[in-house]
Amino acid sequence: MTQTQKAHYEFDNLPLEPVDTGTSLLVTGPALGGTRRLMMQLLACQPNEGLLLLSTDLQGEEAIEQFEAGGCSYTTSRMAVIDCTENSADDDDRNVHAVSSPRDLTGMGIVFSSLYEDLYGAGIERVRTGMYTLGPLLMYAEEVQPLYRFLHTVTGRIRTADGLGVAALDPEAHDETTFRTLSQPFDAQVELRERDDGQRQLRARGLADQPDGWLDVDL
Amino acid sequence: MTTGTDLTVLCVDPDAEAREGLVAEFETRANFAPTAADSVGSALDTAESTAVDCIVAEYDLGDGTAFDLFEAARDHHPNVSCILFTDVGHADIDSGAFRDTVAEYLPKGGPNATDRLVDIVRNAVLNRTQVGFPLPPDEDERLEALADYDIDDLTAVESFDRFSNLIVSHFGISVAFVGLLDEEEERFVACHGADWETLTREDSICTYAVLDEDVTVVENVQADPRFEHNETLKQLDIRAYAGANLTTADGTVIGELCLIDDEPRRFTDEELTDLQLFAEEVSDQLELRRRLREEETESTSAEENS
Repeated sequence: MTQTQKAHYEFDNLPLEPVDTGTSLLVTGPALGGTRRLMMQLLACQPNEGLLLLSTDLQGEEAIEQFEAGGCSYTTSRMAVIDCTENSADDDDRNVHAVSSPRDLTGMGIVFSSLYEDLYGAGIERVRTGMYTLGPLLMYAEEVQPLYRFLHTVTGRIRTADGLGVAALDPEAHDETTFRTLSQPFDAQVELRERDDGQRQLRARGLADQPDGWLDVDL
Repeated sequence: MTTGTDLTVLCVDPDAEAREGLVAEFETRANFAPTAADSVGSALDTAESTAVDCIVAEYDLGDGTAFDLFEAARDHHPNVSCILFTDVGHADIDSGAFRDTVAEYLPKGGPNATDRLVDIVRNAVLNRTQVGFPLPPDEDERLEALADYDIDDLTAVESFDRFSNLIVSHFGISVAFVGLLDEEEERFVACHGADWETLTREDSICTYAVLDEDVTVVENVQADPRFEHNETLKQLDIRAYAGANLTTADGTVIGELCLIDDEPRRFTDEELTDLQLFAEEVSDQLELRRRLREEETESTSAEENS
């Protein structure tokens, strides 16, 4: 692999140019409008890339099913799920690690960092991290300060480790100011919308060297 | 962190060999100033008396855990970066009582653990990856611009007091202030209607206002999801807020001119236009002070060189 290829993450089935390593993207779109499908496409790993998926709304196995629906098979030697739901459970066979609840930002951060180091130790230097979705974190957070600390810490780790971060948020579920300030720890946004005729489109904002405007996408 | 100085890293481990080893590792690298402590208590003594950029701690510290230390240290240094550096696996770490603490974690026994640690410390401090508030995209340039002003000197300038006095009576509100946002806190250069001197960035509404080009209005602070659980704002009776940016000549936002009321209220378009005009006036005054200071510095160094 050449140096140029190594410095980017590529998206095979999306109308997006590769993005620099260390980038964290915020994917925004309606919960029922294909946002999860889009995120799973962004996380679709190339061979030898690792995956860390923080799931706040689906338990481990269900989250894995959603990831595999994106066209990638889940490989436990280089992929792991952090189950942050209320009914979370460990599953060693599937490399699923439970955090007590979406309220436990400290636990979530520590499991995330620990699994990141495990991948690094196994020689996997390119890792895609997904967070689906930020909604429950925001809903359960009594104060916003720990949430900022958490998002800064996770995106900071992704930047230092040359990873790729993708987190999803439904802008319609939160007021505009909350949404806008919560997007700050991320480097750029990928917006998803559905036209009246049912065609889904995406638009990248804040990323260099990407096509302008809304682009058709089939998810 | 003060620009241009070494990063202060406090290494906390009850095991003397591990502690000294860690200090020695940081000493071999450029731009680090490591110190050591063996317990929560001794680490807090250090953190209370000196500036600390980053704490690297073992999990079990004898008189408490690393989380006890991180929580207490952030009372003194809200932006201090906290890293758990331990052989204890994540499954054996009890974050239950500290679910909002948030810290980095690195296993001691991992491959290239000390190199990884140094990278993480450097990134955490320089890129501010553990701050509990949103950062403007140009935060480094913003702080550099602010460094051209002498905040202590500005606090003594009467014209800012007159401005805030005039603003309180013009708008019929309870408090008006001129606040400049440094790395860790907002410092009130002038404040009429209250005796506030500083507020941490985490607690200050202005932290959010500097992100916006337009005047920021929060008609009911306690009903806004960003501030509804903020006890400090409640205690200070900050119920309604309007803030206009104070900018340098090239447009960098260094602070806010703010209207505060002790009950929720709306602001009319005319009021917001007036606030913006007042803010431009205060910005001009700040620019004037900056130039005066620059000229004084230049003439002093010219005298020294002659």
